[in-house]
Amino acid sequence: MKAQMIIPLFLALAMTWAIKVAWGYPYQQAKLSVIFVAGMVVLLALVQLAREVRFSRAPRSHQPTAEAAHGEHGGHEASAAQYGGEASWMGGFALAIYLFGFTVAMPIFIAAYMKTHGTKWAPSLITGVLMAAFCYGIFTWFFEMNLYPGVFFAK
Amino acid sequence: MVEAFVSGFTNYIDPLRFGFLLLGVFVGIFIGIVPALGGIVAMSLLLPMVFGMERIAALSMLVAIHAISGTGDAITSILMGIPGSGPATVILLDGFPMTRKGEPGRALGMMMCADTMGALLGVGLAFVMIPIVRPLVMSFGNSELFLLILMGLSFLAVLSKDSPVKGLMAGFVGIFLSLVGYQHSTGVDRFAFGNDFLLEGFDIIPVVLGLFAGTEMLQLAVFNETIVPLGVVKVGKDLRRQFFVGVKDVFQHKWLWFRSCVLGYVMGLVPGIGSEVSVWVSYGQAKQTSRTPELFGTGCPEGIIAPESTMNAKEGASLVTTLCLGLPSGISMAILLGALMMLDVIPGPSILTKDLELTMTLIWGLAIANVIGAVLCFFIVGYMNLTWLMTLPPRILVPNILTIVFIGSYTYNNQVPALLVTILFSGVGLLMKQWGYSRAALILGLILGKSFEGYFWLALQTSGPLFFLTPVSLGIIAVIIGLYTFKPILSLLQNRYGKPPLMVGGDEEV
Repeated sequence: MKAQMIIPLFLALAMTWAIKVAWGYPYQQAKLSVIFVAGMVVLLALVQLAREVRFSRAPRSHQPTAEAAHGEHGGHEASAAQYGGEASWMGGFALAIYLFGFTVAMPIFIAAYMKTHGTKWAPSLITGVLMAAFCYGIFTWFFEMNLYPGVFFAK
Repeated sequence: MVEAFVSGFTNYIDPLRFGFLLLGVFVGIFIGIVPALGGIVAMSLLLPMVFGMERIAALSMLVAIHAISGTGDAITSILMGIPGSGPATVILLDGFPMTRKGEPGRALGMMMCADTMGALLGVGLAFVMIPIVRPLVMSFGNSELFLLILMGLSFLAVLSKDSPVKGLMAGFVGIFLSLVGYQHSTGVDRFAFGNDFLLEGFDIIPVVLGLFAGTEMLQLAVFNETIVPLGVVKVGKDLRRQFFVGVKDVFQHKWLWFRSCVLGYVMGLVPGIGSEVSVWVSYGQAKQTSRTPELFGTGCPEGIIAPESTMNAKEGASLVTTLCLGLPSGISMAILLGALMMLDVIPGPSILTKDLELTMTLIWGLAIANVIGAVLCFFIVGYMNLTWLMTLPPRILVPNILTIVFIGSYTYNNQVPALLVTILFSGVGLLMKQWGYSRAALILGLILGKSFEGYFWLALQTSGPLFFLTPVSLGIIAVIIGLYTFKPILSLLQNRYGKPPLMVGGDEEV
């Protein structure tokens, strides 16, 4: 199976399931739009699948590849592991915010990210602290918004 | 009417009124630059201030914030690839690639010039259109509004990379995502499975930030690149020169600018829908009519001029419908409506006879705010040199931008799970970009999904399953059919007569 088929196939299956679930809703008003929209997605996904199957049999002038998507990156290809590594930084940051709140997580994340990506300790720490102070000043002090304090520091 | 038009302008000779307009511009541009803090937040924060203020000063301040916050959103879209709002996403499509080519000043110059001239034309159009606004707006019922949403999605779909099928699919997935959560009138839990966060539905900002900013940051980090390659970005005098090149670009595309303004104005008259759809429709018509549609998405000037012109021309129209019919075109205008009530101004058709001067004053306020915003933007770009941010290495840029993105995502609704939505959609955005699915269509679907459902249901209830058999609806359907059949028919004709295709689909993502 071609990789391009994964998205339409997934959508067709997920939306079929959505139609099945929506069918059981007690009110017409709640079910009608879901069935219509999900039905449209299933239909379009099947058309796209058919196109992919048809085009996979014939030589295709434009195959969307990682290179095509990242043409501006000089033709370099990135592996899923590299993306996974960066995404895990994002996940780790979200987890740190959940546990310790924005005020603590921000400088730690910035400093840790910069240090592990080749910056020296001093600039990493200074950038982290300055950015956290800037965000705190803008959002908490100026706009009087409450940044999440984290489960450990929540009152 | 001419007298009201002139006195609308002269009202700003008063230092108090002009001072508050200026305050609105500064607050608007500052808040617009911060992701998730758009004009709505700024107007909400300053709404309590208007109580007891002189009415023109108070309303001018709010109008200026509304006009300029969009500019702030566009600045971050162009320079950093971070759209602060849904409509700013369309500017990102060509503005950010132009920045990456080393021409941020040109993109900003174009953006500001198209913005300002759009607002000025909006003033002129308001003057001409006020007498015919009422019958035009009233001709749009539920079925027409429903079909207008489909038209907006279709415009994006036909411009999508690879095939319209992928674009339309992305749009419908966006609508589907907007249906997640409570169905408000029945209380049915749809695909939320009792989860408190999902019951509220997907907010737009966390999804937008993930799909665009998150995806860009992931790519910058993985490819270890700066936004603009070192040495390519121009500073100081060169940047100011670029700004004027951008201004010149707008004049070189004067017909596109004019067409986009008129389109924006007409669509801006439609309450609720027009203002959201118009920028996308404008981008679509610019690409459809361009001689070089393949350049769209790669930093094409027309891709910036068209939506920006539309964006501000429509604001004049939105203001007219809000004031003259009491029908707000969006949340910002609803806040303005609230401010009008607080100041004992009753919106409605009678405002055209009793208080026409106020209407004209606010429309002028919109235009003057944009002119001041353009000058301010020129100084920000030319002298403050924000562009050094774009040459920062990813090890510094990525964690700092991610911090702002996460704060923007959280503060939109003060929900920590919104961070997970942003992360999730960063991954989704990456896949969509890789396989040619339109992220813009998904966002438009998400923005308009609730309206889509509401108008669909109301149209069915009021007119039955054949709700689309009205003259205006049939006209919109004809446009939709035309969108899908135009290119194939053109290709067929050209094949028959042996000429090379005049218009080809773009390879870049829309």
